[in-house]
Amino acid sequence: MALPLIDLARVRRPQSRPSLSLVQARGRAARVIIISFAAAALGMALIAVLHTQIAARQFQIDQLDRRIAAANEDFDALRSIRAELRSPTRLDTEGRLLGMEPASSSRFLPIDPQVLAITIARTGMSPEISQAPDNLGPLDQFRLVKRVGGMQR
Amino acid sequence: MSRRTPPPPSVRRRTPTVAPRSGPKRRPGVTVPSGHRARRPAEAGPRLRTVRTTRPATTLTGGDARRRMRWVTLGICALLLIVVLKIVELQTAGGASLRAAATDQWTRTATISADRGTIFDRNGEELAVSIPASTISINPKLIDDPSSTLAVLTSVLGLDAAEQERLWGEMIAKERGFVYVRRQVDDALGEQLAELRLSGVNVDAEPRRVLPGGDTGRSVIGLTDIDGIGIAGLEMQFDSMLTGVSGERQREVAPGGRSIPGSEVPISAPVPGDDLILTIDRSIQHACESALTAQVNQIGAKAGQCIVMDTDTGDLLAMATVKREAESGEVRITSGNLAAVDSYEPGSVAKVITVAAGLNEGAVTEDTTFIVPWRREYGEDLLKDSHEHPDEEMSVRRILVESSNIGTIDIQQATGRPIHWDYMRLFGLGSVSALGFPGESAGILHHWTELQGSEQVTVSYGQGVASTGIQLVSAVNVIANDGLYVAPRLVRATVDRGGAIEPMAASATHEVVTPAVAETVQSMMVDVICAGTGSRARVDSFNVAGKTGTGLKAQPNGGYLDENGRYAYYSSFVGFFPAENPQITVLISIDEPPAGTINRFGGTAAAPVFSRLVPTVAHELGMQPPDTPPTCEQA
Repeated sequence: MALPLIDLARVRRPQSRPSLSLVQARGRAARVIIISFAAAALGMALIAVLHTQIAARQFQIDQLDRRIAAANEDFDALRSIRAELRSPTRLDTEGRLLGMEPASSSRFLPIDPQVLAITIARTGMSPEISQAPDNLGPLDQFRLVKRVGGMQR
Repeated sequence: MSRRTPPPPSVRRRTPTVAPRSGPKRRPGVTVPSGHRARRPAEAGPRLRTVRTTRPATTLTGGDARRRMRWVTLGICALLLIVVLKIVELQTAGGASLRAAATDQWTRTATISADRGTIFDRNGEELAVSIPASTISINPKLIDDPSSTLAVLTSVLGLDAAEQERLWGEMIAKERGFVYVRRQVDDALGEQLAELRLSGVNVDAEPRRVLPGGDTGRSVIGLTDIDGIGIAGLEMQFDSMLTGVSGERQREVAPGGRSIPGSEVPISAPVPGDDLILTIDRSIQHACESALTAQVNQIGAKAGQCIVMDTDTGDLLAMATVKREAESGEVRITSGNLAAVDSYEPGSVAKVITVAAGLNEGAVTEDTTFIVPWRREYGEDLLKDSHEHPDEEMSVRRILVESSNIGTIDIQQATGRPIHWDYMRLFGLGSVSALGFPGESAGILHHWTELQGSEQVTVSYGQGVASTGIQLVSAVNVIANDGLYVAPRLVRATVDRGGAIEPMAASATHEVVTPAVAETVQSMMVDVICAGTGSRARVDSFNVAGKTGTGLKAQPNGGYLDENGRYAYYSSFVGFFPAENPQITVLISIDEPPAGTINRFGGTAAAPVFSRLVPTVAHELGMQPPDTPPTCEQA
């Protein structure tokens, strides 16, 4: 069945239809505000996280500083003990306890090179050994620690 | 679908209060203005009339509610914006003052002492170090249980009765907020007390200065007080360099002032002080001190000095002084450096200056002779040699070797008193040495025009002039150093905060006599050992040279005789070795050796110490003895 043709141009629009007008989109301001607040909240949360991270790192740094300070104190105490043990006063005292006495006279004698070589080998007095990095003297050890900034409390 | 038409602008704008005509009576004060009549639409329901109110009423339409909501939202947003802005302000610029105020309320700042620099010897061995220690204090106002707190402190620290009484009084009085219990106690004790967390008891770190080698080098190193401030010796002289810069530490406190554990944070790190590397050799220093102590004890002297100097550089390898304590009679290393601060009349050692001056000026040669009696009058005084001998012809060499006072006066007079005085100045007498040691003495050397009576000539053999030990060894070192005066030096280098070694400036030098003259005097001084008064200074392995001196000590009454009519002596020996190429110069002085005994002379009291020291010094410095053993054939 064929549909009747309608002349759209002649169709009358209802008189009651209101005229269209351009209005501002509602809710845009709200979206802006919400997004702004979300951004602000996110920013503040990020700041809070950042502060937390900073605090955690600072705590770790403080812990390391305390460990360094403690290590330095140990270093000072130990090198004092070492200096005391190596001091001539102690060696003198210990020697006397063992029945030794200062010589009344001294003479320099030539030493057999073979005896010298054996003595060096047995006592570890070889120059190669004494120059090894882990065999630094007290001053060089101290300077090394000081150079790396460790001498802080 | 119907659409609500907006009300006419007049209605919306006026927003009248409406009420039905048949409604309740008008409230008093509510009037209907005659000119305000609302246009009534025809299709409207019951007739309404516009009433006049005293003020414009608010529209109660649906559109008005939305508008109110917008205002409310805007208001809230504005408030939140203000809050956000305030937060931003507090987080950035504006919060600093508030944070500072808050910080002041809950935190306390304490000073962190910088590490005091270490003092090393020339080989890098520690002579003085600061070690961790704890200082215990109390805040009596915060102590809840004084009796148990005192009991714990006594148990841990071993407080004596007087200390307990003092602390008990403070705890009961509760007047002061800070009282020391013990300072710089062992760190382990401090940790033990800290772990107890006693209310009102504070444990703070405060380093303690120690000399690990005991008293070795104490005379030179000096002292610090309980606050770590240098009060004597090098500790005082280099105090600002050793001290460094203090830092600050902050801790949080609870209401009432109690510290919150774990709340300490450093504000600024302390900068450690620089370290000193001395010219002192710890082993040689100890050898000096031991040898001096033994000799002073053995002969019953009052005190002694020992100085070991590097001939070329003026570096002092040892500078030791010992003294017998008046109360106990025990001989101990002194805390004061008597070799720098105490001057005495050097006696015959000064003859070296007189002879060198005469030779250098050409007034005499080593073979020039004088007829020398054993005594001669000068003014009102009768001056004598140490022993009686007939008038005899003595050469300059023999005068020095046999240490003739009268012969030395002849040499001085041949040289001329003003010139002789100039030489004494050039040899370093009468002025403070380059050490700049705290309290260092310049000695006494009056200008030649100011000398009175026999003093005009006695200065030629070391009476009427006073010098310190350091002046005397520096003077004789001129001869050992081929005529060149080299200023003594105690500090070789410093170690800065970065661990770098900064060498100190080399000692200043000036020529006093020619090398030829110095060599001549050296040979004379060898003869002093081989054939003169210094035979007891002889060493098996090395050729040595030196000069003895036995000076009279001036008494408080201005003369040389004490109230008992006795003389007191200052006996010295200054020598150097190896004689053929001097490397080390040594001074030994014995204060008040027993008068009336053979041990009162420089050759008997001091020279033997030199003899004992030379092998040790040579061994420590790695010096090899000459291939040919020393002989005195030439002498």
